[in-house]
Amino acid sequence: MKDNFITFKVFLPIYLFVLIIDFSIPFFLPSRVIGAYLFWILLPIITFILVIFFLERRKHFE
Amino acid sequence: MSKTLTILGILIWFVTGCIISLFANRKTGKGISEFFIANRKINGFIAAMTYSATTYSSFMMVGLVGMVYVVGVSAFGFEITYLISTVLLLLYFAPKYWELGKRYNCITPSELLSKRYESNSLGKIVTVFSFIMLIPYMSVQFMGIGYLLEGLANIPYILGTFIALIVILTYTIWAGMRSVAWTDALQSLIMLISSILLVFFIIYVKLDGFKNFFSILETEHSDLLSASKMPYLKFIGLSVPWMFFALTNPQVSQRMFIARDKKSLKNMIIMFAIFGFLYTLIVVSLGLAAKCLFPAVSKSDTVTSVLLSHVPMLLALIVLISIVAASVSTVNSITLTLSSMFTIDFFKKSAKKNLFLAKLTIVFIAIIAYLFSLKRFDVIVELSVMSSAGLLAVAPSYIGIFWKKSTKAGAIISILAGGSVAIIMYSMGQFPLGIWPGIWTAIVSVITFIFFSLITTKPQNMIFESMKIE
Repeated sequence: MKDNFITFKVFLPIYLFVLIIDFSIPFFLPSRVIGAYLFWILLPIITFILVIFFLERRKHFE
Repeated sequence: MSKTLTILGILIWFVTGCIISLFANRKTGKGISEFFIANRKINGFIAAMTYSATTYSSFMMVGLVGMVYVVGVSAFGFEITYLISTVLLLLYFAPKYWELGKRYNCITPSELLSKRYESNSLGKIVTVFSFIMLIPYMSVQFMGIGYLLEGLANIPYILGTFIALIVILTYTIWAGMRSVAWTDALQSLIMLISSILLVFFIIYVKLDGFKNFFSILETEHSDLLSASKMPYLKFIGLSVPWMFFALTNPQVSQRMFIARDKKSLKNMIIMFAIFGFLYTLIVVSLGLAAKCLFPAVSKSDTVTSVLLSHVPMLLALIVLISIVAASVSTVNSITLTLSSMFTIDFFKKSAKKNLFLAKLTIVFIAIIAYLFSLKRFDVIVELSVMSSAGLLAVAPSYIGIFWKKSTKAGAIISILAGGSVAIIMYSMGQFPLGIWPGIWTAIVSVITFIFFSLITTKPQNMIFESMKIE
């Protein structure tokens, strides 16, 4: 299984880190548009940029 | 909304889907693999659209809009948690599942489990378990269509749900996965485009733009901008079962098998992420905008109907069709997947007559869900909530595919134990320590999976022995 998009050793810390901040930080933010609302807009954008980075770096899929 | 116009709109949508389905039928070859997974030849765009349409049901435009209206951005957080987790899980698991499916000729996720754990019984258990858990979820989709058409266009409930049944059977039986995937692409585009039109109309025409919309939110409804509006344990309890949706729900996990190649698989992940993010953001914005415009709606499930009654009729009709499309695309995918699981796990895939059995199973499954919806059980909604928690019991077995010490005893016992926990807790209405059943299901199934895998021995010369986590 060499054609993985990401190895388990890289995937697990990223997965846990993203979910931990997803389950914690928004609950301390103020009740404003730039609070949890903006946070939950930015978090997936940053995560998906990271995902695209992992998907695009393996050119041998092309 | 005019009844005639609504029926005309649905007819145009249905005929368009039939034309697509007809082209799919002409492209479809013979055999079970062709019928159920289009011989693994779906391109990235279609794979992404069918993944999106299967995942996002009418819950988004009806349920989530209402949920945001009541609990604000915490509902956004719950839906975004699902999306982030799904995309990350796809990043890791999709290429592995795709390659295993191709290497060992697996058509269904349960077949993958049967082969990995060398147990036909396991495949059968997962099939029956998925059927029990997904029938209420399918019925809720039928009910959603029935109520919406009855409420907005005065079409009788029984006729509305019957129309849905006919559409689902047509798209599914005609050409299997290819037809479902292609028509799903149509449905997902309708869902996205109509929701974009609606949100821009509501915010720019009704609320004078985003600046004013945000200003009203912060001054008059700031409580909706707090993540804590939904109790934290409820947030966790709702989020955790959905976090593993990509692995536990066979109708979506089967879609990891259909991509033409790894480039298509990669495109599927990227485009699904973009679709999911945009669609979620739009739906959440609609819920918040509805609160700004109509702050006194008493029933959260009617918020979308209230919004639609204040927009031009054509726009309302397109959105209405998009909601029907969302339900249809979810149900036809579940029907096809459950049919494939029954056909392969119970009848085997070699005989030619099995294609006939497969189509017969499709009819049987769709009619069961339809009949269930006619009863209009209030408990169906609770059962469908239970199904997301119950299906979590299969997560350790799917993840454990890549753990070399996992055994069939661990897999079978974890599914039965975890599933029982969900059923018992929901039926008794018990939430020990205030923790939701989905969490208990996860805890029980993980512990039993690990424990029974460690104390039982795995078969010699397992075909998956070469599978190792890198």
